[in-house]
Amino acid sequence: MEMERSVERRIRVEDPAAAGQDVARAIQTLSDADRLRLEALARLRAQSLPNGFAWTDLLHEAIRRALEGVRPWPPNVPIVAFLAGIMRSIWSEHWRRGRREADWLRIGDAGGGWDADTQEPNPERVVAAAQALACVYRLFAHDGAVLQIIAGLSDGLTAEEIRGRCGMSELEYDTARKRMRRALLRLGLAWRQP
Amino acid sequence: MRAWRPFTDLERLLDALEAELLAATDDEVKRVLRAAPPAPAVRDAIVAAAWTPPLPPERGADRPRPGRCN
Repeated sequence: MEMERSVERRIRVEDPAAAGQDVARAIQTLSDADRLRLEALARLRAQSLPNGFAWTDLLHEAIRRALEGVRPWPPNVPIVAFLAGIMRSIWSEHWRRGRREADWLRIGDAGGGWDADTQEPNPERVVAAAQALACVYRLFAHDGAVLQIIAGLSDGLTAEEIRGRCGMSELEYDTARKRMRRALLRLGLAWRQP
Repeated sequence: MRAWRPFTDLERLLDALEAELLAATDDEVKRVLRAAPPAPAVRDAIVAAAWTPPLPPERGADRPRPGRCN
């Protein structure tokens, strides 16, 4: 059964209209749990976007791209992971565009040597990224162990390296991660707050 | 000591947190949902919002679009 579906999906990847219908059906039948995951993912990404990009805009844009087949839905990838991947791309595009605009404003037409792919940070971008980082840290401000894990993750450390650096047992680490996941999911429930 | 690069840190952190959210088990998600059950009127807001963007045209006859009120 699963294999049949997979074959069908592989064929539909070649047909954007049919692939769009697959995406539409999958979204329509999302479970409450998956909806919460999706909303938490959208809120997490959107709150660290500069220029006030709403989480609903981010989610809508991801769904629009998926429905229109701009991004084909690969077989065997869950719909939530697929939409999360599109939101990640939109997030990156938004940051890149912001950087280009800031560079253009700074250098203008007279710059001549403007390079869209430059890795040179501009001050606006550094400040915006630092504010966005602070925003994520604030989510976990009440939990020292989770903050240590967050710091390790942003340093690109593995679980083992984080445990070593913080002197955490495997159990303490896993328990803190569960608290971290719950806090992230509660972010998805934030819409119910006035 | 490595240089402070907030954008790289942010990107890495968000990717890691995204992976955590995707790895959350249904039981974990349901526990959070039970703690703050959604109001019926807003429970379907995500799906309703999802249908705001235009859907791709259906092939063949003019069948009603899924998700639309008919």
